[in-house]
Amino acid sequence: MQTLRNNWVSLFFIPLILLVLTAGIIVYVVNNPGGAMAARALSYSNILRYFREHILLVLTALGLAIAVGIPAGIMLTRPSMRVVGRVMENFVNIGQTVPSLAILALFYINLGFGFKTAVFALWLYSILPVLRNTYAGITSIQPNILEASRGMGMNSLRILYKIELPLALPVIIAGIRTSVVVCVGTATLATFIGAGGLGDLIATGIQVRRNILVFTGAGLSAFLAIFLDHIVGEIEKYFMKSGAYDPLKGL
Amino acid sequence: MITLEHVTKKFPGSKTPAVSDFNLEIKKGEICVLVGPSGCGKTTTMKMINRLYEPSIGNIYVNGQDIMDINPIKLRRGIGYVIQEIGLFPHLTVEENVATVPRELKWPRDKIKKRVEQLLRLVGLDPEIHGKRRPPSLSGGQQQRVGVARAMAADPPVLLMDEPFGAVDPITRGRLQNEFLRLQQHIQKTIVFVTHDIDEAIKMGNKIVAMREGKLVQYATPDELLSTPKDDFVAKLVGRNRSIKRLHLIRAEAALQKSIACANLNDSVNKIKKYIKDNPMNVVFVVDDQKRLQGVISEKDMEKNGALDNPQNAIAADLFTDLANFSHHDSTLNDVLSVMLNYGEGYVAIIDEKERFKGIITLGDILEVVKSNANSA
Repeated sequence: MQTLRNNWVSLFFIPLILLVLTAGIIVYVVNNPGGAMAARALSYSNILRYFREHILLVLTALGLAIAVGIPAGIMLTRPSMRVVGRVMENFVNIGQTVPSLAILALFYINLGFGFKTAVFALWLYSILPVLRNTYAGITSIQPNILEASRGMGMNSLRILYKIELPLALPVIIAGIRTSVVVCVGTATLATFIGAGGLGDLIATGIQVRRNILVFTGAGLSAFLAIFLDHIVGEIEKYFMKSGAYDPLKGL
Repeated sequence: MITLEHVTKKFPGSKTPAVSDFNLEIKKGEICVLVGPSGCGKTTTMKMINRLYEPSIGNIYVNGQDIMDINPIKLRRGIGYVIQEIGLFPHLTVEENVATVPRELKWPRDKIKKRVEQLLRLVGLDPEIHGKRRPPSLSGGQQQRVGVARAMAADPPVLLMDEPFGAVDPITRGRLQNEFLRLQQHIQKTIVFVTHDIDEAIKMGNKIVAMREGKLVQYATPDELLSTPKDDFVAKLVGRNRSIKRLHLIRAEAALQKSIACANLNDSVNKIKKYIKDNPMNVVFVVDDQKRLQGVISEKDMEKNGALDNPQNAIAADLFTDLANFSHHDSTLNDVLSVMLNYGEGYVAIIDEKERFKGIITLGDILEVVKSNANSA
């Protein structure tokens, strides 16, 4: 009974609170812009456009990152690729240390302004946690479990989707959640290469020295990050319930 | 059933072969134990049988067929496999774990379900209680049972077991070993069993292969191994106390004193007194109407409750105390002896699987059996 209520709360109640808070912020700042200059940026249609642009950036980049990161991560764990995998893992870790703004700037020079460049840079940046966690999740499975499945005559494809992927799922999802949060935050920088998003609000606010614009942009993007993170978390819970195990209980 | 001919396995990058010129023939229905110190190649030898490793030189035949001619996936589905630390799938339920090989073989769903239930019952688990649980919520002993059930799922004629009882505590291990031996009497599989524990080898094996540095040193029955070790290595392996170890080989039944009279729950004090007088240990065992052992009455118990003063009021049910020094009839004399020493009693009561009283074993009985065994060996 207790868990049923908890499930219900986390599935509907928390997103609802986040939505109400987000709507509250929007309504509040539109009605109390604190000056004509801020009022011009803070209209309902503007804010919704920023939001739409931001979400589109994040979801496109994230979707591509998952679509490429998970298969690539799996590929690196295959016996023939293990050496490449180790090299790749280090490369990826170093890649993660490059500042996000630098990545944006780098690709802006080569690919020019706009949505596509921003998506590309965000994709590159958010693919890293997904790939690394897929690799780590699969390689950290106890060897005796894999040996047992091989010894019972499962072929490698069956082992992959019956054993390896389900066992690595919590780690892979953790990687996706990291990517979500990083991606929503980094997407605010997309404004500097003309790709719009909530970053527009923040950048404008800095230029015209109106804190309310900065707070609005930052606050909304933070709520978006929490919201998306929560959604992914719920998806994870769904998978765990339908036939996976509780990683906290251990093996 | 399983034949290894001049099998050598050399791993790339190592100078000495892990297994060298290994010859072995295992008969149908036998448990063959490979025993030796770690790194002696026993696990490698076993894994070559289901082609987890492939021999560098030599041939292996299972059921007369060269295993190199069989597709490894097909071969492995026909050989049960129980490994160290069990290797159950933690994300699948017990039922799903056991159903692994039948599912690979694409058995129909209801056949799998029936087989899984049958197997869980066979290894002493209740499908209703344990079937839907996941392995991490089971005890070590239960996990082990699931591991054995999973290996037997598709009824393979051959089982490979790599230290299957290594991960559980000594008490559970002893019980699992006894259970497994009892099971083997029904299923009659050909089993290759790997262990580093010589006691386990002696207890489980019909034949024992003592291995050192990839070579077969001695291939013999447990009794031969204990009475005539081939060289110093085997002698050291079986240890100095090998006469005690031979107790592992003798079942409690061999030393049992069967004609021991028992009291019923409602027997009178006078009757009990007579029983105690006739009994060699000066106690009387109390059984219920189904002959199940309830407890024991000693002379001391008679004094308490004032039973001697009012003999007409007391019956056996009021007087007996619980009995701790008992053992099952299929346990070994070694188990019986340890129970005896643990409780400091001169006898151990023996019961069968339905807790029915079978008789007692005294220290003298054990000596007697060991003596006659030594003469015949």
